[in-house]
Amino acid sequence: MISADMKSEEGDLDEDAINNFTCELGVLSQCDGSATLCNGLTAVLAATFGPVEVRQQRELVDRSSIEVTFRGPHGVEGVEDRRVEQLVRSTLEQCVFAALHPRTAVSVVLNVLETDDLLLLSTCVNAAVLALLDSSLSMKYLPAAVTCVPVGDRVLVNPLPSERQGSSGGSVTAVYDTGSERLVACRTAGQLSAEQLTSCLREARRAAAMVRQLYRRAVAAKFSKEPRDPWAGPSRAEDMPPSWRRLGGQQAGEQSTS
Amino acid sequence: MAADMRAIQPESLYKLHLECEERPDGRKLDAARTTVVTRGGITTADGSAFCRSGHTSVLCGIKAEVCTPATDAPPDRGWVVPNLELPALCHHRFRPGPPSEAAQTASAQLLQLLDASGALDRTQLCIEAGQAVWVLYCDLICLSHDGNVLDVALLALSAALTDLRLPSAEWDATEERLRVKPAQRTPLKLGPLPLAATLAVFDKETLVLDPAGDEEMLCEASVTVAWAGDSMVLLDKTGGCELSLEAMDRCIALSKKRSLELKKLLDCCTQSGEVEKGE
Amino acid sequence: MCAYMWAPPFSAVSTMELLSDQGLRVDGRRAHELRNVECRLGVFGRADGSAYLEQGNTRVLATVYGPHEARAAQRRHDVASINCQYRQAVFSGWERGRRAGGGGDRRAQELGALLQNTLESVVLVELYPRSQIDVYVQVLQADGGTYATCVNAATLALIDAGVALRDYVCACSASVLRDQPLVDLNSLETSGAPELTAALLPRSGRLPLLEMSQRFHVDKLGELLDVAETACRDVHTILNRAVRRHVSARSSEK
Repeated sequence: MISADMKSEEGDLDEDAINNFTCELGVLSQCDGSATLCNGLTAVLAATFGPVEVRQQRELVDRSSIEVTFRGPHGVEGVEDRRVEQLVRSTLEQCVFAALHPRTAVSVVLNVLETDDLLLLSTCVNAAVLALLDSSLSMKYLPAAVTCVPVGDRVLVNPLPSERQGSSGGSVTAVYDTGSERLVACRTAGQLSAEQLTSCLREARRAAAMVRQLYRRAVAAKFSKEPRDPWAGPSRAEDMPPSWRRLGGQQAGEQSTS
Repeated sequence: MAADMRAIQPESLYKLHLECEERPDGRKLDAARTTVVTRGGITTADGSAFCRSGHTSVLCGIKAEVCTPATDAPPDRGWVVPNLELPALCHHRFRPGPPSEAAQTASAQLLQLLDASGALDRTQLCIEAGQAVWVLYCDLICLSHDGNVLDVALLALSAALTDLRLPSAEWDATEERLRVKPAQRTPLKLGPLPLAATLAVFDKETLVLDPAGDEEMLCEASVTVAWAGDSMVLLDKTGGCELSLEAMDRCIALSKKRSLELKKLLDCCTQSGEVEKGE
Repeated sequence: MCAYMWAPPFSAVSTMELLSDQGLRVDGRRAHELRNVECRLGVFGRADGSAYLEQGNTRVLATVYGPHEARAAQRRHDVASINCQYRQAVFSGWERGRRAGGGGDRRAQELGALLQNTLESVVLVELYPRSQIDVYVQVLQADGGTYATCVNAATLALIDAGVALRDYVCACSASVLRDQPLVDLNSLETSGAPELTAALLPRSGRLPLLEMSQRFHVDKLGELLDVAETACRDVHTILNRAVRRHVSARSSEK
């Protein structure tokens, strides 16, 4: 979690700011690429298959067709799931080099392990990008998603539920191209004023650069010769969501407490 | 010659139009199509409205039913269930079949807009806490699709909510049943209703308000901004090309202006109760 | 989510009230009179053909796309294939209808197939081989005689689309109540009396469609068919007048 006033004092990128992120690449063996990303109390597992054969009705002659399937944490599929799929798919369609694989499909499946609803959208986008990195699919750029909540005068980035006290309920999920720092996709929830939106978008742009660091470290951890460990876990085991601990995050918890 | 170009190279023809700052239907870049709102056309529905913007038209009908609230839901709140259909009759590219992704995402957006704007306080829909609440089924049918269905659907939904008259109902505790008087009807008390404006983006910088069907197919990205009073209740830019923050600021300003026009239209319609036409 | 508890009451009306002793029906019509008909062609510019038809309180919208290239499964080498879909809006009836899932419930599919049969008798399909004509009918408000109104609206939409037709198809509903034949039933009368829907090709006098619900004595059938045919010819007069008015308005615009 970072807040606007902390960063302006620091100036440089604050690496502690991505402490709440935990991720691991290549968790599933049967997929072309997979990743688990945990952000605060939200954990998403993304798996990607592709490029694979495409159904005739979805075939595109000049590029690959991106398909996203989203499974929420509970209940029957609803129309809300389609909205998440639409955002993730439209982001990936821009960043993947689809023209290299015509008449194929790239399928991304997102499974939500745990969610606190606010950070779900940004975690899904980031998890999908990590899974595509794991599958070594060519991409034009790396998008990074961040959720910002305006609280009073400040803007909180990826806040935990305990930190959101006093917010009016509005939030902005923004996806930025980490290279050129331009806005790729954006979705708001709740009520916001125009000024709040603009300041959230500015903060999100800065925070997206830190998410890029996350991607670098994730890929470096994948190729490092050290034994595979969950990377840079939160400092306290209690901060990890229960489902993440079941996946193997227990080691980090044990290491940090031992 | 323009007709040939439209068939073979529609993007180039459209770019030529944009260079002259005029669109194929003669509008300026920041001009919306003529919008017509009619309320109360369907007598079998408890509230209805028809909204047409250019060639895009959406009919909304609201039917109210009573149900018992679920055990895990708040006992004193009713439900609103908006559902937008894009049937095969509205455009030749839609085929008969289950709801498309576009229809489902639009339905989800309409529900989010109603919730975020606080236009309808669900406790108004409670008849007897824990026993009987109203469920408002808002069914929207797109009768003709020529781009920008969400804005038109939202306007039709807002107008239908102002037209809605709920029958008076009371819970008889001694007999444990509901007594409804269909002849006595009261309107709902509504907060600021959400109104949306969609802009299409071309060449990463050029913004076009209220895109028509062919513009929607050709655009590189589209941004929808919805306002309820002075608060922004939705900003949705899904994918497409990247946008600078300056362009985003212009989107916000244009959409705010458009939503004020729509609000004036809706207010006139509500007061006069007749067909209202506006730009 | 919840159990359905209440809907607006729809009281069944007894036969005594449907037809008074003076021969007046519940809405003030005589036995042989049709309801007020309003129709408009070309309501939607983007469709190839469209028509909006009101018969009393029943409102129907019909849209035609085509003739266009047929999908592989429906392509026939010598004739056009006609694809009809009948949909009823969920708010169109007094009770909220079940939401149409894939193609709607079975009744909607049956009516769609029936409409296709009816229209195939009148469209000159030999003129459009390997093509497909899509006819979509949407019922916005239902107050009896829905299917007949759909057939009439579909005819108007086909005319607006410029599809070649042998003849008009004009449909009307009819019934017999206490030995008195009635035409163009509304929903109250449909619930209280048996209903016969007939479609007529006015020029040849043939009936491409005859549909009946409930039962009545076979002796009454001849009288009923005569009454229905007369009503269909009245409908034909109204539709014909509307088409001519529309065409002359369009040509005077140009």
